[in-house]
Amino acid sequence: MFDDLPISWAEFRRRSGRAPNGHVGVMGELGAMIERLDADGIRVRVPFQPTIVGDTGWNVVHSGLLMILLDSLCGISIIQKMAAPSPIATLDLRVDYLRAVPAGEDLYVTANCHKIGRNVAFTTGTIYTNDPEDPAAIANGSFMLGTAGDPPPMATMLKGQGA
Amino acid sequence: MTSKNASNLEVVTGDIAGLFDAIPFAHWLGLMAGKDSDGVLCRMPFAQRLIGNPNLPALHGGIVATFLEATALAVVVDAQNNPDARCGKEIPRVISTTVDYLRPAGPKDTFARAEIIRLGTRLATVVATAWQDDLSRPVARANCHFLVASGGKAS
Repeated sequence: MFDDLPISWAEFRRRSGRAPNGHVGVMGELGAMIERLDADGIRVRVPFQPTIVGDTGWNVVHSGLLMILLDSLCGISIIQKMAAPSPIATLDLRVDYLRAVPAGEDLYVTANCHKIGRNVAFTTGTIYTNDPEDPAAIANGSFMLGTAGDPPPMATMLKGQGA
Repeated sequence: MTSKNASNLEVVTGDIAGLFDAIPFAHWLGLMAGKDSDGVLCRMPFAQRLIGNPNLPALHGGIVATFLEATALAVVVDAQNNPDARCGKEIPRVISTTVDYLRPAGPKDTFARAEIIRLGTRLATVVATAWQDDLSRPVARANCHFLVASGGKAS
């Protein structure tokens, strides 16, 4: 599954058997593309589309989209580092909006897990557009480990990588 | 930071019910705003596209965060509409949002209200709360900061 990056989030869900009745989740609906997924990190690109605009006068992307991307990527950064992937749930997420994202620019999202404890994991995430050195938003998120439900599909994919 | 154009929300600020229709992404999410005797009440009707993990299924955490932030925005705009309010009257620009996730948000309608902690000449601080079946069992809370007027020379 790893040999053909980039892969769309939707396609990745379908291939990992995690798209019940064709439902691919909000990241799939947004057209997110997984561009990089390895031991050193993950990067996702979200192509611009008119539905993600927050203000047609200011012509900027909606802040909520950035929170969606950061929550998802921070979570994946934990799964990526887990010895035995298990379900997680966001405990808290703080997002600072450093600058507006002009409509028309693709968004890139990266995240890093700093620590996996027994109960909680700590992460940061970043969003940028053209220039990685000029972030549009940064996030700090902490996540509870060992919550109810199935491990996220990313876990399946990552285990497949090592096999 | 943003362009010099006027916000397109300028034309709808007198009508909270029309606020989210004027925001393309809020419209995509299906967010609704209204007022009752307790103030602004927002609703996010369940839709499949709001799901994070279809296998659980639960609403995406970022979706809940977006709904809370949008509710906080609506409450600030509503307060700015008061002609007697002595506060910044520009369309609010969000600076930061911090969300606490309290319970899983299931595949059902979600509601939210927000309380203004402080509304000044430059800054608004707002706490928003979201729930599903039971107001006393919130699924998430958010603390949001908005700029409501551009700064002076320093900025």
